[in-house]
Amino acid sequence: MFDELDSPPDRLIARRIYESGRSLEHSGRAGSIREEFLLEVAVARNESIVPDTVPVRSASWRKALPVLARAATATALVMVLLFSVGLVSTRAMPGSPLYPVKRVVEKAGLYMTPSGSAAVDARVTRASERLEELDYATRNSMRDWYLPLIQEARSNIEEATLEASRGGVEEEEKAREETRSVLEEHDEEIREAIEEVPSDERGDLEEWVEDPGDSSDDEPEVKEDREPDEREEDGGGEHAPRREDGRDSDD
Amino acid sequence: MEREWDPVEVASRAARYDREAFAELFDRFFEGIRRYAYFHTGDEDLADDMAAEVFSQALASIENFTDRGGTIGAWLYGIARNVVAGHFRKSGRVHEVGLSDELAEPEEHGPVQTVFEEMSNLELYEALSTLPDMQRDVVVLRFIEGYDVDGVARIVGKRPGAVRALQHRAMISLRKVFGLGPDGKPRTASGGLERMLPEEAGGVVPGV
Repeated sequence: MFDELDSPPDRLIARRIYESGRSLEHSGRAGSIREEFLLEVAVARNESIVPDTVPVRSASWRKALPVLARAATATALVMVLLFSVGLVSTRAMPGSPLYPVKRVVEKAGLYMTPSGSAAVDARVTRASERLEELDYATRNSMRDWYLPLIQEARSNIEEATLEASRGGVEEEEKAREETRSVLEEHDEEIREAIEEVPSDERGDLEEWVEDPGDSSDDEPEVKEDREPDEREEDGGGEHAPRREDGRDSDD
Repeated sequence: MEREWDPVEVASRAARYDREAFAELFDRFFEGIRRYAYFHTGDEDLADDMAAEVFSQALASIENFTDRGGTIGAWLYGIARNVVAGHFRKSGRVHEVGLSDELAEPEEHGPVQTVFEEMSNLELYEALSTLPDMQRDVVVLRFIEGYDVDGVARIVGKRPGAVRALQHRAMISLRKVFGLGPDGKPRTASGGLERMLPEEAGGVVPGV
C-alpha cells in the first residue's frame, strides 16, 4: 500500500495515518450496538415476505442448473419409465392392459431385426408366444381371442418359412423343423380352439393344422379375412403340391 | 470451524434477512466504518452512532443492493459517506476544522518521526480535516481501511484514475500541513524540522 507512493514524505505520512487508524481503540459500545442491530434484523426478517426456509444454496443451484441438463434429466426419466413399462409388458397376456404395449414392442423389435436367420428366429419366437397366449386363452375360456391368436401364429410361421427359403435349402428345412415343433407343442389347444371358432370363420384353419407345411405358397398366406374363392382366384387357396420334404414339387 | 469469508454468499444470505449474515457483516465492517466516521468527526461517540446508523440503513435497503462481485463492503462504506455527509448537512457545521497551533507549527527541535509519533489521533484528524471531503475519503479508505484504488473508486463512485489524482492532491496538501516539501525537507520559515530530517526521509521509518 505504501510502496505505491513515490515520495518518501508521502510514505511517512501515509504510514502515520495507517498507524493512527489502527491505534484507535475499539468501540466500547460495539457489543450493545451489535445486539440492537441483530434485533432490528430479526424484526425486519419477520416483516419480510421472503421465506427464511428457502435455502439460498438450493435456490442458486436450481438457477444455475442449465436448462439443457434439466431437459436431459427429464428425457432420461421418461426413457427409464418407457423401458420399465416395455419390460413388464413382455409378460402380459391377452386381456391385460399392458398387452397392447407388448404387441407394439414386439412389432418394433421385428422391424429392427435384420433379415436372415435372426428374422426367422424372431418370427418363430413370435408364433410360439401367440400359441402360449392361446393356451392361456383356452384355459380361461377367452373365446374371442382364439381366432386372432391362431391367425397371428400362422402368419408368423409362414413368414418365418418364407424368410428361411431365401437363405437356402438348409435354412428352410431348419425353419420348418422349428415351426413344426412349436405347433406340435401346442397342437391340443389349437385344435380345441378351432373347434370353438364358428365354422363360417374357420376358413382353412383345420386343413392348415393337419398339414401346416402345405398351407403356404411362395407368399405368406395371411389374408385370413378373405373368402376362400378369392384365394382360389390368385392361386393361393388351393395348395400347390409339395414334396415330402415340404419344398415345392416343381423346383 | 470458522466459515471462509465469501462476500457474494454473505450478501446473498443477507438479502434474505439471514441473521448470521448480518452478524458477519457487522463483525467485519463495524470497526472500519467507525474509524472512517471518526476521521471525519473526531468524536468517538459520534463515530459509534454513525456506524450504528450505517448498519440500520443497510438493513433497510438491503433489497436494493445489487452485488457486482463482492461489493457489499464498498456498498456499506458508500452508506457511511452519506451518513457522514448528512450529519454535517444537518448540523450546519463546516466540515473542516483548523489545525491546532501545535500541529501547524511543528516542534522546533524534534525529528520528523518524533513529530508524527507524538501526534494524537485527534491531531491527525485535524490534519485530515483540512482536506476536501473527497480527498479525505480517499486517504482514509486507502491508508486506514486498506482499500486499493479500484475498491476506493467503487465506494466514492469515481474512476480509478480520478482516485489516484485525488490521492496525489491530498498528499501534497498533507505535506504542506506537516510543513514538508516534495523532497521531504521542511518548508517552515523557522527551519524547525530542517535540521532534524535525515537526508533520505524514506529511511526514517523502517519498513516504510
